[in-house]
Amino acid sequence: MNRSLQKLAVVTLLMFLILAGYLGYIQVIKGEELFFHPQNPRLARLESERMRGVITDRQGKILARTVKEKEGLRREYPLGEAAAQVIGYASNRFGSSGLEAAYAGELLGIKGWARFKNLAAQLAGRQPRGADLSLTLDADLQDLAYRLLAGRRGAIVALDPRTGAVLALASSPSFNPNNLAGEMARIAARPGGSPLLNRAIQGVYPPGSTLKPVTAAAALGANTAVAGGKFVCPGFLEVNGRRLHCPHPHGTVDFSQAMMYSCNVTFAKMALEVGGENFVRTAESFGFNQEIPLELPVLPGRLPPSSKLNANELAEIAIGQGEVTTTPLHMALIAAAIANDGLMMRPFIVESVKAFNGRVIWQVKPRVWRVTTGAEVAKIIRRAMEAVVARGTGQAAELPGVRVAGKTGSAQNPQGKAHAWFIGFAPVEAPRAAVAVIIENGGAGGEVAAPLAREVLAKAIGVVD
Amino acid sequence: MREFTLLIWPSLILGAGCAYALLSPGQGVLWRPGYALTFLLIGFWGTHLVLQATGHRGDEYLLPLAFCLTAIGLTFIGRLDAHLAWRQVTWTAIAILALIVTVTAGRDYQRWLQYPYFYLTLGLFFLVLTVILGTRISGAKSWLTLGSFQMQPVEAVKILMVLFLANFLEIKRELLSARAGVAAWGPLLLAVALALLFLVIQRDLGSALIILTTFLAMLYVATQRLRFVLGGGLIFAFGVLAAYHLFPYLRVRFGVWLNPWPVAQAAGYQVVQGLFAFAGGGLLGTGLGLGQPEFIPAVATDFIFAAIGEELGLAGGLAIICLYILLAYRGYRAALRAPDGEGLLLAAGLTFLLTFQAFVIMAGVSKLLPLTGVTLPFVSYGGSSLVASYIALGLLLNVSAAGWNEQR
Repeated sequence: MNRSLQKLAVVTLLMFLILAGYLGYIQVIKGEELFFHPQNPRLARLESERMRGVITDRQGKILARTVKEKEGLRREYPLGEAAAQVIGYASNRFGSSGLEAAYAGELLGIKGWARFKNLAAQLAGRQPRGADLSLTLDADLQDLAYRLLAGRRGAIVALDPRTGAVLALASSPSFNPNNLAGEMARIAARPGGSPLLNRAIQGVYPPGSTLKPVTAAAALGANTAVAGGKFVCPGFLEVNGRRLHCPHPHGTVDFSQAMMYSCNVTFAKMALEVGGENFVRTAESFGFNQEIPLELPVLPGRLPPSSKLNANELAEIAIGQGEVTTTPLHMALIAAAIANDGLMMRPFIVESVKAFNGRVIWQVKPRVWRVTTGAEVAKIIRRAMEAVVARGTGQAAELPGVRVAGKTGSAQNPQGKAHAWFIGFAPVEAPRAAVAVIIENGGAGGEVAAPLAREVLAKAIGVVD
Repeated sequence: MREFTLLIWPSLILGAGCAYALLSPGQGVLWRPGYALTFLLIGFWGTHLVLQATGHRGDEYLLPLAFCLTAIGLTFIGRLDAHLAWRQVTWTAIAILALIVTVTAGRDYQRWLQYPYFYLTLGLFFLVLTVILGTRISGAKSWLTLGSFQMQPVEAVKILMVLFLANFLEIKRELLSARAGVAAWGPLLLAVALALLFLVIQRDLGSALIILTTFLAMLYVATQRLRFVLGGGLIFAFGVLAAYHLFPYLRVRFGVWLNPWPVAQAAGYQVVQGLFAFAGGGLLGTGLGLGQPEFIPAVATDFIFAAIGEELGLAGGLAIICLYILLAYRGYRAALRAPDGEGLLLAAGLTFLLTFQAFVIMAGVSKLLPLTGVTLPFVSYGGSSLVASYIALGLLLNVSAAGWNEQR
C-alpha cells in the first residue's frame, strides 16, 4: 500500500500548492482591483480617516481638496456643478464616482509603496495623506462649457487633437457635489434629467450628419478622385424601393458643397459606392465598435457589422441615422483625428500623479490610439469642413481671424426634436483644439450647437499653445 | 526533547495573541486573556509531560503543529469575538483532555479497531438522530441542541467512518480487488451511501464531500486501483448533477461560486465579503486588529481563514497552508511506518480527513471551490470540531508510536 499512499501524499501537496497559487492571485495580483470594488465596506472607513489628495487643473487651480473640520474631513469642490460628473465625489454615505472613484487608490494613498508609507505615518501618529492628481482639464474652459449648456440636457467635450488631452468634459444637467445629501434627496424626489449621468462619455446618441466626415473618409480612402467629383441631388435617393430624403433638392454639387450643405443623398451614394465592408472598416478605424481607453468608463460607439447591413441600412448609417450610436467624447475624437492628419490620439484626463511633496509618481505619455485615414484624405476633409463654417450650415461657429472647421448635425430620434450636434476644430492650419457639442432635442445643429462650439473653441485655442 | 523545543512556537503565538488582547481597549475585561494564556500553556506543556511520563513515543512534530494552528485560531477568535474566546479556551482544554485520554487509554489502537460495525452503527445512528432531532443553523440541519449546549455529531461521524474503513478495508482488501467481491462491496457501498444520503438530507454538503473523498482516498490506498476512485468520482459527479436539479439551494450555491457579484447583497454576500477581506490583506496583511473582517458573517467559524488572510495577508495564509502541509507530511509518514495495514489506513485516512477538510474550507472562502460550510480543523471556533480534531490527532500519535516501537 506504500505506493498508493505516496501518491495520495503527492495529491494532498498539489491541492495545497494550487490553493497557495490561487491565494497569491486574489490577494496580490487581483487584490487592488477587488479592494476598490464600490461595494467593499472597507472603503468607507478609509474615506473617513484618510486625507484624499488634491485634484488640480492644468494651471494648478484646485478642483477638489479635503479640508479638516471639527466634525472630521470634508471634501470640497470649488468648481461645483460645472465639473461634478468628471471629478465625481467621494462620500462615506454615497460611495464615490468619476475620477474620485477611478483614482481612489492613488488619492487615498493605498496603492503600491504609498500604502506602506502611510501605514508608517499612521503608526507614528501622523495624518496619512494620498497622492495628488494633476488634470488636463482647464477649470475656466470647463466652467464656460457648463454655463453654455445652460441647464439643457447635453454635453460639451474639448480636446487637444495633438495629444488627446481632454480640456473640458461638461455634462448637463448637473448636481452640486458640495451638498451631496441635499442633491441626492432632490434627485430621488424628482427623477428625470439624470444629473448623475456623465453624458459626455455615457450618453449614447445617433451622430446624425456629424458622421459624414467618416463617410467621406471611407469614400476618399477608396478613391481620392471623389474629392473632385460632381454629384446630382434630386432631393431624394431611392434604395430598394425606399426613399431617403434631403430637405430640398441640392441639384449638382461638388464634394465640398455636399459637406457644406450636408447633402444626405450624396453621402448615402458615397457609402453605397464603397460598400458596407469598406464603410464599416473605416468607421471601426475611427473607433466604432472599440472600447475607448480613458480613465473613466466610456460607452463605445456602435454600428452593426457589414455582414448584417443591407443597402437601406447602409445608406441610413452613412448619414448618421439608424443603427449607429456614439458618445460626445467619441465624436470629439473623430474631429480631433481629422484635425491631426488622421492620427487619433488616446484620450486622457489625468496628466500626472504626484506625491504630496510634489514628486511625480506617474506621468502620462501621449500615444496614438488609432490610425484612421491618410494625411491626404484628412486634409481634403478638413478643407470641406472649413467650408461648412465659412459658407455652409456651420456659419454660427465662425470666429474672426481664426480659421474654424466643423460639421453640423441634427440627429433624428424617437424622443422628440432632433439632437443638435456640432463637431469641429481650430485653427485649421494647425489645429490646437477639437470640440463636440450636443444639445439633446435642441433642434438644428447649425443654430443651437454651433454657437456654443464657437465660444468653446475661441477659449480653448487660448488655453493651449 | 524535540517536541519540547517546538512547543515554544505555539506558546509564543499565544503570548502575542494575549498581549494583543490585553493592549487593545475593552477586550481584556471580557475574557481575561491572562488567565486563558496560563491555562492553555499548562495544557500545551502538560500534554507534552503526560506523553513523556507515559513513555509515549509518538511523532514529535504533530502536537506542536496542531497547537500552532489552535494558537493562531484562538488569537483570531479573541480578536474577532471576545465572547466566543473564553468558550473556545474551555473547548481547547476539553479537546486536550480528549487527546490525553486517546493517547493513554487508546494507545493500543489495534485493539480499538476490532469493532468496525460498532463504529459504523454509531456513526449512522448519530446521523439519523441529527436528521430527526437536528436544529437548522445557517442552512445546514447538522446540530443537536441540548439546552444551551449545541454540538455537531457529524464531526464524530467523520472519525467513526475512518475507524470503520481502516479495519474493514484492511480485512476485505484482497476480496475488494478480486472481481467477485460482491459480499465485500455490498456493505461498504451501502454504508457510505447511507451516510451521504443522511448528510445531503441535512444539507451538510461540505461534510458529505469530505466523507466521500476520504472514503475514495482510503479505498485507493487499500486497493491501489485508480479505477475505483475514478468510478467513485463518476458516480459522485452524477450525484451532484442529480442534486443540482433536485435542490434549489444547491443551484444558488453554484451560481454564487461562478459569479457572486450580481447577488453581492443577497446570496453572494458572505463570499464577496470574504473576497474583500483577502483583497484588503494583500501581501503582508493589515496587521492584527487593523483589518475589518467583522463584515463577514460567520467569520469566527467557517470564514476564519478570510480574517487571517486580511490581517496577516498572503504571508499569513501561506503560513497556515504550510502548517497543514507539514501536518500532512508527518501524518503520512506515520502511516508509512505503521506496523500493520490497519494502522497505515487509519493514519492515512485521518491525515487526509484533516487536511482535506482544511483545503475544502480554505478553497471555499476564497472562491476557488463552491463554498460549503465546514470548520477549519484546529483553528475555527467550534467545540465539536476541535474535540474531534484532537481525537484524530491522538489516534495519529498512537499509530506513529506503534511504528516507533516496531522499529526498535
